[in-house]
Amino acid sequence: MPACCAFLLGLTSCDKDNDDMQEQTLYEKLGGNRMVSDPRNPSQMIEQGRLGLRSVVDSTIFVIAADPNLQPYFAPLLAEVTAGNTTNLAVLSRSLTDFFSVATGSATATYSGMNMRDAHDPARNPRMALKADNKSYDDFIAAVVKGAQQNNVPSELIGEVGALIEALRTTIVQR
Amino acid sequence: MQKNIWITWLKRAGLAFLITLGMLTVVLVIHIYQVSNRPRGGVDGWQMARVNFEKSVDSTGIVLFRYALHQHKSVYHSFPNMQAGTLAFAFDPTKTKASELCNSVVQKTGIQATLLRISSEEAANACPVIDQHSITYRISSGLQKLFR
Repeated sequence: MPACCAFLLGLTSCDKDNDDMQEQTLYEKLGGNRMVSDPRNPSQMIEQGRLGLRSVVDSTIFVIAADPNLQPYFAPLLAEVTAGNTTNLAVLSRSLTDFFSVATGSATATYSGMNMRDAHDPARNPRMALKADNKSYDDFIAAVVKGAQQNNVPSELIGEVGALIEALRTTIVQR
Repeated sequence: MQKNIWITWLKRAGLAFLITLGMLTVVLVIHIYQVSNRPRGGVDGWQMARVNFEKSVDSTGIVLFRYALHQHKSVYHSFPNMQAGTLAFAFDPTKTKASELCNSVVQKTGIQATLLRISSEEAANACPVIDQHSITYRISSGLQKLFR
Protein backbone atom coordinates (compact mmCIF):
# COMPACT_ATOMS: atom_id res chain seq x y z
CA MET A 1 0.00 0.00 0.00
CA PRO A 2 2.68 2.59 0.89
CA ALA A 3 4.50 1.61 -2.27
CA CYS A 4 1.30 2.15 -4.22
CA CYS A 5 0.78 5.58 -2.61
CA ALA A 6 4.35 6.50 -3.28
CA PHE A 7 3.88 5.45 -6.91
CA LEU A 8 0.70 7.52 -7.22
CA LEU A 9 2.39 10.45 -5.49
CA GLY A 10 5.25 10.11 -7.88
CA LEU A 11 2.88 10.16 -10.83
CA THR A 12 1.10 13.20 -9.48
CA SER A 13 4.31 15.07 -8.91
CA CYS A 14 5.49 14.10 -12.37
CA ASP A 15 2.29 15.51 -13.85
CA LYS A 16 2.75 18.71 -11.90
CA ASP A 17 6.31 18.99 -13.12
CA ASN A 18 5.10 18.42 -16.66
CA ASP A 19 2.45 21.11 -16.30
CA ASP A 20 4.99 23.55 -14.96
CA MET A 21 7.48 22.67 -17.63
CA GLN A 22 4.99 22.52 -20.49
CA GLU A 23 6.19 25.15 -22.90
CA GLN A 24 4.02 27.23 -25.14
CA THR A 25 4.05 26.14 -28.73
CA LEU A 26 5.46 28.54 -31.28
CA TYR A 27 1.92 29.02 -32.56
CA GLU A 28 0.80 30.11 -29.09
CA LYS A 29 3.74 32.47 -28.80
CA LEU A 30 2.62 34.07 -32.05
CA GLY A 31 -0.83 34.70 -30.60
CA GLY A 32 -2.34 31.22 -30.60
CA ASN A 33 -6.01 30.64 -31.26
CA ARG A 34 -7.22 33.98 -29.91
CA MET A 35 -9.65 35.30 -32.49
CA VAL A 36 -8.97 38.72 -33.95
CA SER A 37 -10.39 40.70 -36.83
CA ASP A 38 -8.77 39.79 -40.14
CA PRO A 39 -7.14 42.92 -41.57
CA ARG A 40 -7.65 41.49 -45.07
CA ASN A 41 -11.34 41.14 -44.50
CA PRO A 42 -12.59 42.96 -41.38
CA SER A 43 -15.92 41.13 -41.43
CA GLN A 44 -14.11 37.88 -40.70
CA MET A 45 -12.19 36.66 -37.69
CA ILE A 46 -8.88 34.83 -37.76
CA GLU A 47 -6.69 33.18 -35.16
CA GLN A 48 -3.93 35.54 -34.15
CA GLY A 49 -1.28 32.84 -34.55
CA ARG A 50 -2.42 32.15 -38.09
CA LEU A 51 -2.56 35.84 -38.88
CA GLY A 52 1.05 36.23 -37.72
CA LEU A 53 2.22 33.28 -39.76
CA ARG A 54 0.28 34.38 -42.83
CA SER A 55 1.86 37.82 -42.67
CA VAL A 56 5.31 36.25 -42.51
CA VAL A 57 4.49 33.86 -45.34
CA ASP A 58 3.18 36.64 -47.59
CA SER A 59 6.26 38.78 -47.00
CA THR A 60 8.47 35.74 -47.56
CA ILE A 61 6.81 35.04 -50.90
CA PHE A 62 7.78 38.51 -52.13
CA VAL A 63 11.37 37.94 -51.04
CA ILE A 64 11.36 34.61 -52.85
CA ALA A 65 9.88 36.13 -55.98
CA ALA A 66 12.63 38.73 -56.09
CA ASP A 67 15.38 36.13 -55.70
CA PRO A 68 16.60 34.73 -59.06
CA ASN A 69 18.24 31.79 -57.27
CA LEU A 70 14.88 30.54 -56.06
CA GLN A 71 13.07 31.21 -59.32
CA PRO A 72 13.30 27.65 -60.69
CA TYR A 73 11.43 26.37 -57.66
CA PHE A 74 8.72 29.03 -57.59
CA ALA A 75 8.34 30.08 -61.23
CA PRO A 76 4.50 29.84 -61.32
CA LEU A 77 4.34 32.69 -58.83
CA LEU A 78 5.45 35.00 -61.60
CA ALA A 79 3.38 33.49 -64.37
CA GLU A 80 0.16 35.24 -65.26
CA VAL A 81 -2.96 33.21 -64.62
CA THR A 82 -6.00 33.42 -66.82
CA ALA A 83 -8.77 35.72 -65.71
CA GLY A 84 -10.99 34.37 -62.98
CA ASN A 85 -8.52 31.79 -61.70
CA THR A 86 -6.97 31.91 -58.26
CA THR A 87 -3.52 33.39 -58.51
CA ASN A 88 -0.54 31.26 -57.59
CA LEU A 89 0.38 33.79 -54.92
CA ALA A 90 -2.91 33.03 -53.16
CA VAL A 91 -2.43 29.27 -53.58
CA LEU A 92 1.09 29.31 -52.16
CA SER A 93 0.14 31.70 -49.35
CA ARG A 94 -2.67 29.41 -48.22
CA SER A 95 -0.65 26.23 -48.54
CA LEU A 96 2.43 27.54 -46.71
CA THR A 97 0.32 29.17 -43.98
CA ASP A 98 -1.54 25.88 -43.42
CA PHE A 99 1.73 24.00 -43.26
CA PHE A 100 3.42 26.42 -40.86
CA SER A 101 0.30 26.60 -38.67
CA VAL A 102 0.31 22.84 -38.23
CA ALA A 103 4.08 22.65 -37.85
CA THR A 104 4.15 25.32 -35.14
CA GLY A 105 1.48 23.60 -33.09
CA SER A 106 -1.92 24.92 -34.12
CA ALA A 107 -4.66 22.70 -32.77
CA THR A 108 -7.20 23.81 -35.34
CA ALA A 109 -5.28 24.08 -38.62
CA THR A 110 -5.06 21.26 -41.08
CA TYR A 111 -2.54 20.70 -43.85
CA SER A 112 -3.79 18.53 -46.67
CA GLY A 113 -0.84 18.85 -49.03
CA MET A 114 1.75 16.21 -49.77
CA ASN A 115 4.25 15.24 -47.11
CA MET A 116 7.49 17.22 -47.28
CA ARG A 117 9.64 14.45 -48.69
CA ASP A 118 7.27 13.58 -51.52
CA ALA A 119 6.42 17.21 -52.23
CA HIS A 120 10.10 17.92 -52.91
CA ASP A 121 10.83 14.79 -54.89
CA PRO A 122 10.37 15.33 -58.65
CA ALA A 123 9.75 11.61 -59.06
CA ARG A 124 6.72 11.77 -56.81
CA ASN A 125 5.63 15.32 -57.44
CA PRO A 126 5.56 16.36 -61.09
CA ARG A 127 5.24 19.99 -60.01
CA MET A 128 8.74 19.89 -58.53
CA ALA A 129 11.07 20.81 -61.37
CA LEU A 130 14.31 19.81 -59.71
CA LYS A 131 15.56 18.57 -56.38
CA ALA A 132 16.45 21.24 -53.85
CA ASP A 133 20.08 21.69 -52.89
CA ASN A 134 21.58 23.12 -49.72
CA LYS A 135 22.32 26.52 -51.28
CA SER A 136 18.69 26.95 -52.35
CA TYR A 137 17.52 25.85 -48.93
CA ASP A 138 19.80 28.41 -47.29
CA ASP A 139 18.28 31.04 -49.59
CA PHE A 140 14.81 29.89 -48.62
CA ILE A 141 15.57 30.14 -44.90
CA ALA A 142 17.07 33.59 -45.45
CA ALA A 143 13.86 34.59 -47.25
CA VAL A 144 11.71 33.41 -44.33
CA VAL A 145 13.91 35.29 -41.86
CA LYS A 146 13.63 38.43 -43.98
CA GLY A 147 9.87 37.95 -44.20
CA ALA A 148 9.65 37.60 -40.41
CA GLN A 149 11.82 40.66 -39.86
CA GLN A 150 9.54 42.70 -42.11
CA ASN A 151 6.69 41.82 -39.77
CA ASN A 152 8.62 42.72 -36.61
CA VAL A 153 8.62 39.16 -35.29
CA PRO A 154 10.87 39.09 -32.19
CA SER A 155 14.31 37.69 -32.94
CA GLU A 156 13.94 34.78 -30.49
CA LEU A 157 10.82 33.64 -32.33
CA ILE A 158 12.55 34.07 -35.68
CA GLY A 159 15.22 31.78 -34.27
CA GLU A 160 12.57 29.20 -33.43
CA VAL A 161 11.04 29.43 -36.89
CA GLY A 162 14.52 29.08 -38.36
CA ALA A 163 15.18 26.00 -36.22
CA LEU A 164 11.89 24.49 -37.34
CA ILE A 165 12.74 24.93 -41.01
CA GLU A 166 16.29 23.77 -40.43
CA ALA A 167 14.90 20.55 -38.95
CA LEU A 168 13.23 19.87 -42.30
CA ARG A 169 16.46 20.29 -44.29
CA THR A 170 17.30 16.60 -44.49
CA THR A 171 13.79 15.84 -45.70
CA ILE A 172 13.57 18.59 -48.29
CA VAL A 173 17.13 18.82 -49.62
CA GLN A 174 17.45 15.79 -51.85
CA ARG A 175 20.57 16.47 -53.89
CA MET B 1 -49.65 -8.61 -52.98
CA GLN B 2 -46.09 -9.05 -51.75
CA LYS B 3 -44.83 -7.71 -55.06
CA ASN B 4 -46.94 -4.57 -54.76
CA ILE B 5 -45.52 -3.86 -51.33
CA TRP B 6 -41.99 -4.16 -52.67
CA ILE B 7 -42.78 -1.84 -55.56
CA THR B 8 -44.34 0.71 -53.19
CA TRP B 9 -41.24 0.56 -50.97
CA LEU B 10 -38.93 0.92 -53.91
CA LYS B 11 -40.88 3.95 -55.15
CA ARG B 12 -40.72 5.54 -51.70
CA ALA B 13 -37.02 4.84 -51.38
CA GLY B 14 -36.40 6.25 -54.85
CA LEU B 15 -38.44 9.34 -54.06
CA ALA B 16 -36.61 9.85 -50.76
CA PHE B 17 -33.31 9.45 -52.55
CA LEU B 18 -34.24 11.99 -55.20
CA ILE B 19 -35.51 14.48 -52.61
CA THR B 20 -32.33 14.09 -50.56
CA LEU B 21 -30.19 14.45 -53.67
CA GLY B 22 -32.13 17.56 -54.68
CA MET B 23 -31.73 19.12 -51.25
CA LEU B 24 -28.02 18.37 -51.17
CA THR B 25 -27.63 19.90 -54.62
CA VAL B 26 -29.39 23.06 -53.47
CA VAL B 27 -27.16 23.24 -50.39
CA LEU B 28 -24.07 22.71 -52.56
CA VAL B 29 -25.11 25.41 -55.02
CA ILE B 30 -25.77 27.87 -52.18
CA HIS B 31 -22.43 27.02 -50.61
CA ILE B 32 -20.53 27.48 -53.88
CA TYR B 33 -22.35 30.75 -54.51
CA GLN B 34 -21.44 32.05 -51.07
CA VAL B 35 -17.82 30.96 -51.32
CA SER B 36 -17.45 32.37 -54.84
CA ASN B 37 -18.89 35.72 -53.83
CA ARG B 38 -16.94 36.05 -50.62
CA PRO B 39 -15.05 39.35 -50.58
CA ARG B 40 -11.50 38.66 -51.70
CA GLY B 41 -9.12 40.34 -49.32
CA GLY B 42 -5.37 40.52 -49.19
CA VAL B 43 -3.39 38.47 -51.62
CA ASP B 44 -6.35 36.41 -52.82
CA GLY B 45 -6.70 38.24 -56.11
CA TRP B 46 -3.14 39.46 -56.41
CA GLN B 47 -1.00 38.60 -59.40
CA MET B 48 2.77 38.66 -59.01
CA ALA B 49 5.39 39.72 -61.52
CA ARG B 50 9.05 40.63 -61.51
CA VAL B 51 11.20 43.05 -63.41
CA ASN B 52 14.93 42.53 -63.92
CA PHE B 53 17.04 45.67 -64.10
CA GLU B 54 19.95 46.20 -66.43
CA LYS B 55 23.32 45.94 -64.69
CA SER B 56 23.86 49.65 -65.10
CA VAL B 57 20.87 50.43 -62.88
CA ASP B 58 21.96 51.11 -59.30
CA SER B 59 19.93 51.01 -56.09
CA THR B 60 18.77 54.60 -56.57
CA GLY B 61 17.37 53.66 -59.95
CA ILE B 62 15.54 50.71 -58.43
CA VAL B 63 14.05 52.93 -55.71
CA LEU B 64 12.90 55.43 -58.34
CA PHE B 65 11.41 52.68 -60.48
CA ARG B 66 9.60 51.29 -57.47
CA TYR B 67 8.23 54.71 -56.58
CA ALA B 68 6.95 55.24 -60.12
CA LEU B 69 5.43 51.75 -60.13
CA HIS B 70 3.45 52.50 -56.99
CA GLN B 71 1.91 55.52 -58.67
CA HIS B 72 -0.31 53.01 -60.41
CA LYS B 73 -3.30 52.32 -58.19
CA SER B 74 -3.49 48.73 -59.31
CA VAL B 75 -0.08 47.99 -57.76
CA TYR B 76 -0.46 46.69 -54.22
CA HIS B 77 2.95 45.76 -52.94
CA SER B 78 6.53 45.35 -54.08
CA PHE B 79 9.84 44.06 -52.83
CA PRO B 80 13.21 45.02 -54.31
CA ASN B 81 16.30 42.82 -54.28
CA MET B 82 19.07 45.35 -54.68
CA GLN B 83 21.84 42.76 -54.91
CA ALA B 84 20.15 40.79 -57.65
CA GLY B 85 18.75 43.87 -59.37
CA THR B 86 15.14 42.71 -59.34
CA LEU B 87 11.80 44.02 -58.17
CA ALA B 88 8.91 41.68 -57.39
CA PHE B 89 5.52 43.28 -57.27
CA ALA B 90 1.84 42.40 -56.96
CA PHE B 91 -1.01 44.03 -58.80
CA ASP B 92 -4.69 43.65 -59.62
CA PRO B 93 -4.86 41.50 -62.78
CA THR B 94 -8.43 42.56 -63.45
CA LYS B 95 -7.32 46.13 -64.00
CA THR B 96 -4.03 45.86 -65.83
CA LYS B 97 -1.26 43.59 -67.08
CA ALA B 98 2.28 43.27 -65.82
CA SER B 99 3.69 44.16 -69.23
CA GLU B 100 1.62 47.37 -69.38
CA LEU B 101 2.82 48.38 -65.94
CA CYS B 102 6.44 47.65 -66.76
CA ASN B 103 6.35 49.45 -70.11
CA SER B 104 4.64 52.44 -68.58
CA VAL B 105 7.25 52.84 -65.83
CA VAL B 106 10.18 52.24 -68.17
CA GLN B 107 8.86 54.92 -70.52
CA LYS B 108 8.20 57.33 -67.70
CA THR B 109 11.52 56.92 -65.86
CA GLY B 110 13.87 55.78 -68.60
CA ILE B 111 15.20 53.16 -66.21
CA GLN B 112 16.09 50.03 -68.12
CA ALA B 113 14.18 47.03 -66.88
CA THR B 114 12.54 44.02 -68.48
CA LEU B 115 9.61 42.00 -67.33
CA LEU B 116 10.46 38.42 -66.46
CA ARG B 117 8.39 36.09 -68.60
CA ILE B 118 7.78 32.59 -67.37
CA SER B 119 7.40 29.93 -70.01
CA SER B 120 4.50 27.51 -69.72
CA GLU B 121 7.06 24.75 -69.21
CA GLU B 122 8.61 26.56 -66.23
CA ALA B 123 5.19 27.31 -64.81
CA ALA B 124 4.16 23.69 -65.06
CA ASN B 125 7.14 22.38 -63.13
CA ALA B 126 7.41 24.19 -59.84
CA CYS B 127 5.72 25.25 -56.64
CA PRO B 128 2.98 26.03 -55.57
CA VAL B 129 2.13 22.40 -55.24
CA ILE B 130 -1.17 22.27 -57.05
CA ASP B 131 -1.72 20.19 -60.11
CA GLN B 132 -3.83 22.39 -62.35
CA HIS B 133 -4.38 19.48 -64.70
CA SER B 134 -5.95 17.34 -62.01
CA ILE B 135 -9.62 16.44 -62.27
CA THR B 136 -10.33 17.93 -58.83
CA TYR B 137 -8.78 21.24 -59.82
CA ARG B 138 -10.65 21.34 -63.13
CA ILE B 139 -14.00 20.57 -61.53
CA SER B 140 -13.59 23.10 -58.73
CA SER B 141 -12.31 25.89 -60.99
CA GLY B 142 -15.10 25.10 -63.48
CA LEU B 143 -17.74 25.38 -60.76
CA GLN B 144 -16.19 28.61 -59.48
CA LYS B 145 -16.30 30.12 -62.95
CA LEU B 146 -20.02 29.36 -63.16
CA PHE B 147 -20.69 31.74 -60.30
CA ARG B 148 -18.40 34.55 -61.35
